Amino acid sequence: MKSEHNSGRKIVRMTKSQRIQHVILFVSTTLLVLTGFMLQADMWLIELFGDYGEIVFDIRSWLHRASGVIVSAVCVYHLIYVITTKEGKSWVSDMLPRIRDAVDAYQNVMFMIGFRKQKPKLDRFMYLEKLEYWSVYFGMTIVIITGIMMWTEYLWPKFYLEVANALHLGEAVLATLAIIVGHIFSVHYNPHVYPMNRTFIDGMISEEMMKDEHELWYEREMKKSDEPAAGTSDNDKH
Amino acid sequence: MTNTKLKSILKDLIIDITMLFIFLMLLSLTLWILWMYFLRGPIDIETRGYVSKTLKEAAVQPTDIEKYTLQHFHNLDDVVLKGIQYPSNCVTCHGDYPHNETPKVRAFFNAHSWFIDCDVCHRENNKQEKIIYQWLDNETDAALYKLQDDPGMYTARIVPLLFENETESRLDKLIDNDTVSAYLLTEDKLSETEQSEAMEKMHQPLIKDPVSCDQCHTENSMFEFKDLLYTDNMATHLKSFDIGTMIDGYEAFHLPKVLEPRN
Repeated sequence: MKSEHNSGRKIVRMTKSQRIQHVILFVSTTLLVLTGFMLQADMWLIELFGDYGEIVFDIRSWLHRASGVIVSAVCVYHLIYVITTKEGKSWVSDMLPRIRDAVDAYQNVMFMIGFRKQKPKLDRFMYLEKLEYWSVYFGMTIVIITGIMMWTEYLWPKFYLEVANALHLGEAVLATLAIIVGHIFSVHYNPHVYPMNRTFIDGMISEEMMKDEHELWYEREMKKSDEPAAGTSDNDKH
Repeated sequence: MTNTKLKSILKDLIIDITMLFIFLMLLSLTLWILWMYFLRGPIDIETRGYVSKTLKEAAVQPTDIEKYTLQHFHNLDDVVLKGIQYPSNCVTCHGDYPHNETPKVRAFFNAHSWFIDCDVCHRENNKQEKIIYQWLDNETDAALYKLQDDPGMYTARIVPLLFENETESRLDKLIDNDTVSAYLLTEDKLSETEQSEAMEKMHQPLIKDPVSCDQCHTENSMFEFKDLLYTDNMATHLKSFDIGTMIDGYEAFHLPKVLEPRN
């Protein structure tokens, strides 16, 4: 199966800084998921490690903490990035939820179930992308705080640790399912880009896909310039 | 079919198989997470027991005696046996759980008896002697070099040893076993004075006021918890227990009156 939007002009969707942040987040989150859920494995699975079990779980423990520190650092960097840089401000401004998102969501659902002929014109970030983005803020706040609490367990009463543990695991479950279903399947298994949305690697989006999935953004960019597409490039200049 | 077309089909097939493999892996992870969280229930990372079940359910199938013990409101001493092969001689007369005189706090003391030898707290601590503490296996009396299983459930107990002339000697056998046995056999035939003298002799190495909570759970503890094989975190935790403050601040334990003995 080939993607439908893999030719023609390309427009910058993610800058170099954004891609680096995304890759670090992706790698460290993957490590956090794997090393975190290892703790929930049944005993028979752990016993498969045999004599190496102890060292494997020792490494697991430090890998989880190291990944947690890296994720936290990326989050802090991202906050500074969206506050201080021009492209960061533009990013967060376009990510802000608006009433239009609710209208878009309603119209898109109507379109998908066949009660509407026209797909709504979506902006640079559609409602699901905004939801996903702001969920990361919510989720990271929970896992970072509870993670620090569990790392410094000797400072906290048992009740607080149990609450922290429950929140940490609950948020991890929610985030992992959201990433797999809401992000990986909908972004990379999307027929428009299958087998992979390469935007996170080269930062580019095809003109056809931009027109199809972010029409409002496309039209706005067109108005800005007499050129066919503002910021159009075949190479990543960022 | 041209060679180029065949190559293209083959390439697409490899991509599809790879993507299918990734899809199945992610699907398996998703299903496992859903099962783990909503059906099986999470595991408590401290105890490795299932959070949704009670400790009793999570425990290994108990024996009949253990079942009786678990179900019994008081956890009777003659049922909950410590299973120490060579216990301190105190146990011969006082049993495994001797702290019954102070109903309000006996649970605290008896809980400590589970893993601390009587002589640790009740033996006179001569400051000139160098006493070290060691975990000894309940069955073999061998020294432990690592703490395994859940806290307090190491099937071992802390025993005091006298370190003298580069050698260690056990301090949990201070009372001569033969004396104890002889006393028990002849107790009925002894006069009150003789009984009193025998008792005094047997309890000679012991002190009336034992070591208190705040002598252990404090920064300047009589134990070096790290030497007792506890992790750094656990050692800090044991030293930082608020129990010392509790003892100082609440000399009397205030329990609901409904728990007071009715006599």
